[in-house]
Amino acid sequence: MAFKIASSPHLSRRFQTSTLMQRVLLCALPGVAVQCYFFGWGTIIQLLLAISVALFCEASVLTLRKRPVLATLKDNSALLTALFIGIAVPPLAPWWLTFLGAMFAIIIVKHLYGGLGHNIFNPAMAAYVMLLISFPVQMTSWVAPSVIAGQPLDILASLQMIFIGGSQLEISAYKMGFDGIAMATPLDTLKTDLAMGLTSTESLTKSIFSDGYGVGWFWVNMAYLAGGLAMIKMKLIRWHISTGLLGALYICASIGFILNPDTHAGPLFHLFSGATMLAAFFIATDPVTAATSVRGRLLFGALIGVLVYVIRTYGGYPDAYAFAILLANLCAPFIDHYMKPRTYGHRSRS
Amino acid sequence: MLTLFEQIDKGTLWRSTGGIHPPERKTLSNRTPIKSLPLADEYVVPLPQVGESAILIVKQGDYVAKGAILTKGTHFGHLPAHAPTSGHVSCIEIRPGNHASGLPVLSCVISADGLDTYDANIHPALSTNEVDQLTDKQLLTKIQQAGIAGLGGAAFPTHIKLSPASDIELVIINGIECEPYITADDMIMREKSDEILNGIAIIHRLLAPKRLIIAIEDNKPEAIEEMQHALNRSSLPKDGVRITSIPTLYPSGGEKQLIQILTGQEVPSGAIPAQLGIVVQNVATAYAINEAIQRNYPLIERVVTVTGDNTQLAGNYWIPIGTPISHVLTQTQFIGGEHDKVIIGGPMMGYALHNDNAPTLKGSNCILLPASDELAPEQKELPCVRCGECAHVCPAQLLPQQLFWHAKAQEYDKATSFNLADCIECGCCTYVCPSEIPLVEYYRIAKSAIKAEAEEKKQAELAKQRFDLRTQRLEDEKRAREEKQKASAARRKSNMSSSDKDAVALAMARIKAKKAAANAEADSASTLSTRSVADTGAENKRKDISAAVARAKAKKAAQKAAATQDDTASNITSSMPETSAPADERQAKIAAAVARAKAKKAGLKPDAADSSTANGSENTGSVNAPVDDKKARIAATVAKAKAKKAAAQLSADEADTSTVSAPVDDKKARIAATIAKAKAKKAAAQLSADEANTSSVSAPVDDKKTRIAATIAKAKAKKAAAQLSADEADTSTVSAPVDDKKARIAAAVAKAKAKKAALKISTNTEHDKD
Amino acid sequence: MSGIFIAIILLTVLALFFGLLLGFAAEKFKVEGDPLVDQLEALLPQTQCGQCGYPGCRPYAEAIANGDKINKCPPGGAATMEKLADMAGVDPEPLTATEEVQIKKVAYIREDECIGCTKCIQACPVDAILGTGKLMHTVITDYCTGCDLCVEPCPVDCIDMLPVTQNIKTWDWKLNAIPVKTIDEDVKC
Repeated sequence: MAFKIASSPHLSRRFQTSTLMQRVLLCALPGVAVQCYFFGWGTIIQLLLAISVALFCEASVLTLRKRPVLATLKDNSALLTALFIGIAVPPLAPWWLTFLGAMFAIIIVKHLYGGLGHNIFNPAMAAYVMLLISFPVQMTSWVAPSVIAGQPLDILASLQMIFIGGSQLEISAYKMGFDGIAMATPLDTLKTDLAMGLTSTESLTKSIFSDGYGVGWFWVNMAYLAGGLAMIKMKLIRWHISTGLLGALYICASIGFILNPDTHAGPLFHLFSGATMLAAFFIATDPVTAATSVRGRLLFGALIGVLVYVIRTYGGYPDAYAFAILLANLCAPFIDHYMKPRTYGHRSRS
Repeated sequence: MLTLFEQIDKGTLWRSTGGIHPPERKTLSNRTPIKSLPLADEYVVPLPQVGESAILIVKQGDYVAKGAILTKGTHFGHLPAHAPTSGHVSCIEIRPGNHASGLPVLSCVISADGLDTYDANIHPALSTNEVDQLTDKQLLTKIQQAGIAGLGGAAFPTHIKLSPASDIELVIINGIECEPYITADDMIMREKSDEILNGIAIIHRLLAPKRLIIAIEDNKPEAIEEMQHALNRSSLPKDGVRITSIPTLYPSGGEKQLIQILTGQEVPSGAIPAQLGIVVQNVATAYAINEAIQRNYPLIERVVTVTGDNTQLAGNYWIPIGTPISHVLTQTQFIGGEHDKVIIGGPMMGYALHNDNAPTLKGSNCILLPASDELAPEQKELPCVRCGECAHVCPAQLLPQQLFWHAKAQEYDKATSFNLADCIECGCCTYVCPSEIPLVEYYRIAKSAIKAEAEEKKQAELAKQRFDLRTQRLEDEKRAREEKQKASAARRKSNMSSSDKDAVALAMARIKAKKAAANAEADSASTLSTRSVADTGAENKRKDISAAVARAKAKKAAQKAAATQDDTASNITSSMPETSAPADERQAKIAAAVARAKAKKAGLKPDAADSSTANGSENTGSVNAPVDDKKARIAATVAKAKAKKAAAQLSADEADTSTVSAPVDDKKARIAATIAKAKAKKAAAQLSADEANTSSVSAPVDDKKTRIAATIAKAKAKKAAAQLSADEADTSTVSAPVDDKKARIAAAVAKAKAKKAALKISTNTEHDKD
Repeated sequence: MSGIFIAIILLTVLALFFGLLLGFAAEKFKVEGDPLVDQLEALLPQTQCGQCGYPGCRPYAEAIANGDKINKCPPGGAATMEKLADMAGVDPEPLTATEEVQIKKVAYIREDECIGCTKCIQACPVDAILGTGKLMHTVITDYCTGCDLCVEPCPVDCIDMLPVTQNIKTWDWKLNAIPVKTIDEDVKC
């Protein structure tokens, strides 16, 4: 009798990419929920918009590339990219911003480089950077947290804002803070204040920093931190990149704060404001574009941490994760090349 | 700071990198004691070493007893094969092999007589004292003669491991058995602990290590307990020997990983543990060593775990080595079919068996019969997302995904630079891969390709060497030849200067005269000869050869002329008179025709030729003059188109001798051939007759003969001339040298004939057709 | 005015400095001989088959170094051609010979048909054929490079080029690719 042939090992953990992505999505949900709570319906609308555009683009490109569509869609990678775009754009940004971003991420950054596993840059972050440098006004007018704005926009108003009312004039009007719906993010505020000669302590007394880290943002970060820790516990990601990133950011911020407390925010402020936790656990850990070895990942994370601190403190942009992550993506192959682990039985890496 | 030995004594364990915890599923098979199976009808003992380093010492039909040696080798690493049961050698042939490739191997098939009679060399167990009296050399010889190979799976000859070149400080007895499902070592430790300890004592005696560790994974508490008791009962020194329990982790049973866990040391890449002063032996090997030493019982059976959901009698069995897997499957109530896998070894490193006719081997520790949904379902390979899980679990600390990229792209040199060679193929990376990439398969293919590449490189190097040597040799020969020629030329010169130049002219004249004489004699000989002696054995052989040559030529020509094959004999004859450009084509066509004719009458040809020759020779006397004329013309055309023999042949045809030319040609050849034989008998008489005739016939004959000589190979002519000049003095009277000469001429002619045979035959064929 | 002088002097000094640097580098990193031919030769399969039109692999390597085409080596196949192109710094080109499947072959003499003419022995570039006049010849397959050169001279056409069969030691682990030769179940003695 002849039997079926297969290569060893015949056992498998039966834990596939799709499951992994799915779990990551689930772990991101608490953060998304908190963000929705603080920033209203806009976030949810942007999310849904990004997801539908991303899935549509993915399906179209897969058809064009003659790849199995349904099977590939099921790996949830496009979904995850869309999620990050949806939560990264300002909640009340005009619809075409999200549309462009999702399209750019899927078609240009992901598929033009060869699809899942072959892209050099994190699609969501590349799309974010593209939007940020193309449409800086729209991209930096963030919604005021509901606790400050008082009555948040209801769903209809949000829809109207996103799909109809997003004219340039209004946006700039919001940006000026005339009606209190839109305002700069805490990091942006701090940066502006520091530039205006206020000390960080003075700046942090503003209402937007009422809980010390920027209203709402602290809780958003806490939620993402919780999700991230859950991912590490579930071994969806390894701890190295996140640790490297947060550690480097903490150390840099501490040094800056010790040297000049007046012009630098404290390390904890850095850790719990902006997109720190989201980036540290969900975006920088995107395996496709990160370094792969253990030491390489620590270094990769640390590089992001340092870049973020440098750009936040000295750069022109208030938050810097997208830039930092893209720059680190660029360095990943280089890091991998020089951070090969020592193979068993090899004394040194010569 | 504690020394290594102190730490070992304390039971310190080091961390090994990577590793996984696959589901163990060992309870399927370790609940019941080890059983035996009924005898199979036949046993298949593979003999991979035969033909390389060993010879078979039995032949078909021989009776062999259980445990009888089947092979003998001179090589130090040779392991003899043994008969697993008593019976007759029914055949020695290529049989399906128990190997991942499924490729067949030479095997000795023994049909069991059902008696299981032991070989006379197997004796009851010796006492400890008797064992102690054996020398180390005797022990090693016994181990080698018992054919003991490592039973952990790699099947490395044990006697080599037990006679290391350097001092051994630490011996590790491997009872880890980290692969899921397998419980063979577990069960043998539970049931045969004392025998194993005896075997360990022999290893201990042979290697005299400072420490000996019996390492058992902590998921086998019963085995640990049994072994501990047995150790307490044994005579081994209590302070240097200990049993260490290792936390369960796959693949800590790998030799390198086990050494890392127990000592914190790493075996250098490409080296063997003995370089660290460490030897690792499997527990089952220790048992086999004990059997070999105490009872002279060779390694002809082992414990095999038969397990999985596709067998109804999962458990461990004593299975003779060489038992066909089909027999095991039948006996253990295999319920799977062709769509199921039969895995030899464990689920992590075992290979799927192609065919159940294959036998069990020394290294087959498990036959895993999983139901179709029991192990991993077959998944489509997805793109790698570089998640890095493979790198985390890799016990060799490789970067599996980098290796994967390079292996897939067939960039083998880059894969090598990522230390592909250090991959132990444990399968951890594939196990955890979320993209279901069969990483290990890629590595194996890459590894074998690298091996093949290295082999090719070696081969190329060898070829280059041999080519250079050959070029050198040819050059040397050429130079030697030139020097020789120069030397002889110089000698000739000196000779010439010393003697009268006229002498040379005289000699030339003599040569000519003698040639004429020889030819005349040849002619008359042919005229008068009786043909009865023509067909000697030698002649036949030459004909065979020429026929073979003709066949080969015809084949080649047929390939060339495939396009023009259609226009055949008629074209050939009609296009005869054309010049050299189409001549090639014509030749090809002729050859093609020859091919056709040859295929039919290769055998008949000699006869046909003979008969025509007979006619020709009969004619010679009567039509002497016209024949001479014809011959002269033929010779002329031959001289013109010497380079193209076919053309010559054709021009002969062109001269419109179509009816006669073939016999004439044949006749010429025949004449020469007959000379050889006929002359042998009647040389002297013939010669005198010839001489008498010379004056009358000489003019035409001379002419004719020189031309014939010219048509025959020029080299031959030269040789013949030399011969003639030598013989010349004796021509009239002496028979012996003439004989010699004639033989040579005949040989020359025969050789020429061999060359021309095809063409002649083709002419004949044409002639026949006409 | 002085500015011009300063500029000239500065440039001269710089030129001298870089000239010295270049001269030093040329001395220091001097490449001995022409290793290109050796490197090219190392890439060639050493079958010495002459299919490139040169009498052996070394002459062809020299020819490539002198600008000959890199696509004249059928035994090496496309892989060798690419490596040669890479080494010689030219673009890969398709092989001149029609590319057959690159299966390694070696010569076998059908020994009962051999007439012992020694022609193949003379043709073999690596002396891989054993035998002498009037006696049967045989190929030492381990030394045979599969160059094909012995096939043509054989007058009785008794030399076959047979693909090297895989055995357990040379198996390439291509589980899906191998035509599994299963010996019939009913093979009996």
